Amino acid sequence: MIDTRRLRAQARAWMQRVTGPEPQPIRLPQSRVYVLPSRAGAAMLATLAIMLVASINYNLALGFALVFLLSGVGLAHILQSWRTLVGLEIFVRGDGEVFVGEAASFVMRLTDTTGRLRPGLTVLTHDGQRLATCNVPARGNAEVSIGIPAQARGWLPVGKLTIESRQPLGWIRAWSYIQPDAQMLAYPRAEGPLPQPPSPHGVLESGLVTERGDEDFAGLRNRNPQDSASRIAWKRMASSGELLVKEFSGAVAPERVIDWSSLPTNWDAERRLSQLALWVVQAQADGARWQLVLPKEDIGPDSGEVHARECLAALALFLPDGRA
Amino acid sequence: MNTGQRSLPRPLLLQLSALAAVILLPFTLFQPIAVSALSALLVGWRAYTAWHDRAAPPKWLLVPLALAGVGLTWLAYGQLLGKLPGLAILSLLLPLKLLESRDLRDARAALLLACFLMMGLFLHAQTPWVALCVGLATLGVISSLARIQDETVSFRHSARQALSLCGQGVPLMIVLFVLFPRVSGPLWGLPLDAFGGMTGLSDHMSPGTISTLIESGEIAFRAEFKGPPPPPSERYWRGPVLTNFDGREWTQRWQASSLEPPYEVEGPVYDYVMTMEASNERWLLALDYPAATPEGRISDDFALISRQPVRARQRYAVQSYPQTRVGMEESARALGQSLRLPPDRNPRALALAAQWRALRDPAERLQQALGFMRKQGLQYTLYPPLLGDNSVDEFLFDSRRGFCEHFASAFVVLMRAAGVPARVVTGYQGGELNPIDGTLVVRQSDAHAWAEVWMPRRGWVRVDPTAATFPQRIDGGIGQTLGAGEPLPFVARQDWPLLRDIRYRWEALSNTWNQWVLGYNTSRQSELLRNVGLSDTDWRMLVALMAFAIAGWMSWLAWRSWPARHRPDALERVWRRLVRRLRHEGLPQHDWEPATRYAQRIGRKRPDIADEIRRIAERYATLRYGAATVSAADLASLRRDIDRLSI
Repeated sequence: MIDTRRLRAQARAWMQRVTGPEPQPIRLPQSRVYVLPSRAGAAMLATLAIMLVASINYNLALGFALVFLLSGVGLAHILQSWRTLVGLEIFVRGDGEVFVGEAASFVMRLTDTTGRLRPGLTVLTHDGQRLATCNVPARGNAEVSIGIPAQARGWLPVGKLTIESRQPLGWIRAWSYIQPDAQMLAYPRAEGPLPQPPSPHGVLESGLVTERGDEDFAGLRNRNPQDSASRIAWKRMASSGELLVKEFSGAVAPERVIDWSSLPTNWDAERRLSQLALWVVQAQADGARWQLVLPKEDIGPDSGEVHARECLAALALFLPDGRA
Repeated sequence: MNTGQRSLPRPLLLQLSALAAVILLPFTLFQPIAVSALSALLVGWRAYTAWHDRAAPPKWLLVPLALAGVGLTWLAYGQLLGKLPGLAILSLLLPLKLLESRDLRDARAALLLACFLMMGLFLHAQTPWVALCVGLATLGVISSLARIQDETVSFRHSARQALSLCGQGVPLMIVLFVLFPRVSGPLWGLPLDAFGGMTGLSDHMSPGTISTLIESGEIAFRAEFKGPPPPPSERYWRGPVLTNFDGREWTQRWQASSLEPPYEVEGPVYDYVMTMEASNERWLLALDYPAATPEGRISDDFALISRQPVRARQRYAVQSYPQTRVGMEESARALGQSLRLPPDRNPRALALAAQWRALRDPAERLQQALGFMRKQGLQYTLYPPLLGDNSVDEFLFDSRRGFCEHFASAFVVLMRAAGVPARVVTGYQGGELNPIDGTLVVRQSDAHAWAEVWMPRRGWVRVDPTAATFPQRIDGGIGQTLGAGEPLPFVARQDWPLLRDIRYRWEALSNTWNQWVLGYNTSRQSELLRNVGLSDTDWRMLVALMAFAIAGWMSWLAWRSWPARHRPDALERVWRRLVRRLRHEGLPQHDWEPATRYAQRIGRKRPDIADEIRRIAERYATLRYGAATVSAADLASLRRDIDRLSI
C-alpha cells in the first residue's frame, strides 16, 4: 500500500522548497504558485463527469454543450485564481512589541503593481490556520496584521506562511508558500512575585511620588528621544507643529536599580528575566529613572521608552552563564 | 475564503430561490401538474421565509414532505424507476434541499443539484427555448457561486463576473462540442420509457389510425432537394406497405429486404437529403422509388428500412427515381397474398366487385372501381362515424363519410374482389416548401394512405383513390379538401399570412438548430472536418485536436492577461553587459540592489576595479535618473568603458 501521508509530506517539502528567510519584498513568480481543485471543485468535477456520461448515453447535444461550457468556466477559473497570486508583492514587518505568551503582531503589506484587482487573498500559517483575509486593489496595497504566538524569548521569525486565493468561484485553490525575512524580538514574560526594587537611597515609594508629581503641571520643554509619548503635548503640536513635552513639578524621578543579583539565588535564569522584565515595564510606566544591572553589563541609568526597549532587548537576548 | 459553516445571507437565499424557479418553470410543461405544484409551493415557501427573514422549517418537517413528493410521483407515473419519475423526484429535491440549507456548503450542494436538473431538462426537450432557459440558469449558478465565495459581492458584480467567465468558456464550449468524439447509441440499456410518446406512422392501419395522426402539427421529416423539388402530385413518401387484411385492420406481411433494390432504377432522379424526426420505428421514408443507399435496406415492398429504430433525429441522403417500373416479376406468393380477403366480411362490396371480373383488362376493372367510388357521393372528412365489422360496406354504402384510410381500404378490397392484386401503402403525401430555407417540410398532418395495384406487364402501379375522388387533396393539401365549417388542424390553415410567415421563419430557424446543434453526430462531425481538410479522423485524432485546442485557448487567455513584462531599454541593456560579466565572476546584482550600492559592494570585494566600477555605476545612475534624454553617444561611451574593463 502506498503511504499517502509520506507522499504528501514529500510533495509539501518540495513545494515549500524555499530555504531560509527570503529577502523582502517577495514578488511571487509564476513557478511558485500552485493550483489544484478545492473540495468544492472536486465535487463539481464529479458532477460534470456524471453529466457527460448522461449526455453520451442519451445523446443530448445540449447536455454536451452545458458540460463543455462549465468546463470552460472551470479552466478560466484556474487562470483567474492563478493570476490573483502571480506577481503579487509581499512585505512583512514586525509591529509594536511582544512579550512571551502574547501574539506577535506582524504587518503584511500586499502590493499589486500590475494593475489587476486581487480579491480574496487569504494568509494562513503553513499548517493551515487562517490568519487574515484581504482584497488588494489594482496598483494599490492592503495591509493585514498577522498574529504569531511568541513561545520563547529571543528572535521570533514570522516563519513559513501560505497565501492562497479561491477566487472567483471557489472551485480552484491557488496558493504559494512564502517565508519572509521578518522577525520580532520576543521579550521575556513580564511577571514576578517581588515588589518594586528599592531605590539605592532607600527613600521613596515610587508610585505615590509619580501620581502626585503628574498632577502639577510645570511647563513645556523640547522633547528628548527618551521621553515617553504620553507626555508629549499633542494639542500644542497640532497647533504649532513643535514637539514639546509636558513637565511636571513632582516628576523628580527616583533612581531605581533593577539588579539581577538582588533576586533570590534559587531562581533559575528565566524566572529572573521575567521578574526583571516586569520591573523594567513598571519603571517605565512610573516614569522612573532606572538602571538595569546584569551579570555582564549595566544599562543606564536612564528613563523613557528607548531605554526600556534597550533593557528588554538585553533581557530577551540574555545568555545564561556557561553558554555566553 | 472559508466556504464552510457560515449561515446563508438573505440576498443569496433569495437569489437561489429565483434560480430554482427559473430551472423548475420549464419542467411544468413536461410533468404532472401535481408534482409541479408541490415544487412551486416549496420554492415559494423558501422565498417567503427568506424574504421575511424567518427561520427555515425544521428538518423533521421535511421528511414527510419528501415522502409526500415520492408518493405523488408514484401516483402520477405508477412507478418510481425510469426516466420520467426520476426527473420528477429530482425536481422536488432541489426545493427541498433549499429549504434544508443552513450554510454555504449546503448552498453549494444545491447548486450541484441545479446542474443535474438542467441536464434533466434536456431529457425532456432540447428546443431553443429550453436552451435559453438553461443558459440563463447557468449564469445564475455561476453568479451564485461567486457570491458564496465572496459574500461581500453584489448581485450586479457577480452577474458581471458570471458573464465574463461564461464568455471565456464559450470558445472552449464550441471547440469541444465540435471535436468531442461522439458515440452512436447508448452506453448501456435505457429505461423502457426512454423513447415513449413519439407520434408517427404505425405498422398497422384500422379506421381512424391516420385521422388521429392528422391532428398533430408536428414535423415528421424535412427534405432538402438538390435542384427543384417534385410537383405536389409526385410527393408520395412511402412508409409501411400493408397487405394483410382481417376485415377491419390492415397489417404488414412478412417481408424480405436487401441492400440492392428489387428493381432497376430508370428515368429522372430526385437527389435529396432527409432529416427524419425520431419515430421509434424502423422505416426511413423516401419518395418512390429509392436507389440503393448505405443508410438502410430496401424491402420487397420497395420501402426503405433502417437497421435500428429511428430513436434520434436522423439524416440520410436518398436518390429516388419516380418513373421506375417496379414489380415486373413479382412472385406468385406475393400476388396471392395481395388477393386474399376474409370471405365473410363486407359481402356487398364483394358482390359488387365480382361483377367486374367479366372485364378482361385489369385496367378497366380499376376504372370501374374508381368510377363507382366517384358516383357514390363520398364525403371526405376528418371526423368519420365509427364503423363496425364490415367497415368497407358501411363506408361505401351507408355512412359514405371517410378519410383517406377509408378510401384506400375500400378501393383495395374492391380490387381484390375483382381479382386484381392490390395493397395499401401508408406514408405521407405532400409537404410544404419553406420559402426561407427552401426545405420541404412534411408534418404528421400530411400522413396519407393510398393503394397499389399489380397489372401484368406494368407491375405495381400507384392509385390514389382519395385523389381520384377529390383531386384537390393532392394539389392543395388537406386544407382545401375538407368541407366548410369543418375544424382544421391549426398548422393546415391557409389564412393569416403574417402568422404563416412567422411560422416559416421559426421553422427554418429550428431546422438549422436541429441540423447543426441537436443532430450533430459522428457523420456530421466527419463531414465538417472533411470540409476543413481533415479526412479520416478517428477518435485519437479528435482527442489530439481537442488537447491542442484547449492548450491554445488557455495560453491565449493567459497571454491576454499576462502582467506587462518588463522590457529593458537600450541603457539598461548596456548596464546588463557589466552585470553579466560580473556574474560570471560570482558577483551577481541582487534584484533589490541599486546600481551604486552594487558598485560599492563590488568595490569592497575587488579593490582593483573599484574606482572604475563606481564611475560607471554613477554615470549609469545619472543617465537613468538625471538626464531627460539619453543620447547615442552617451550610450556608446558607457558601453566602451564597460567593455574595456578588465575583470
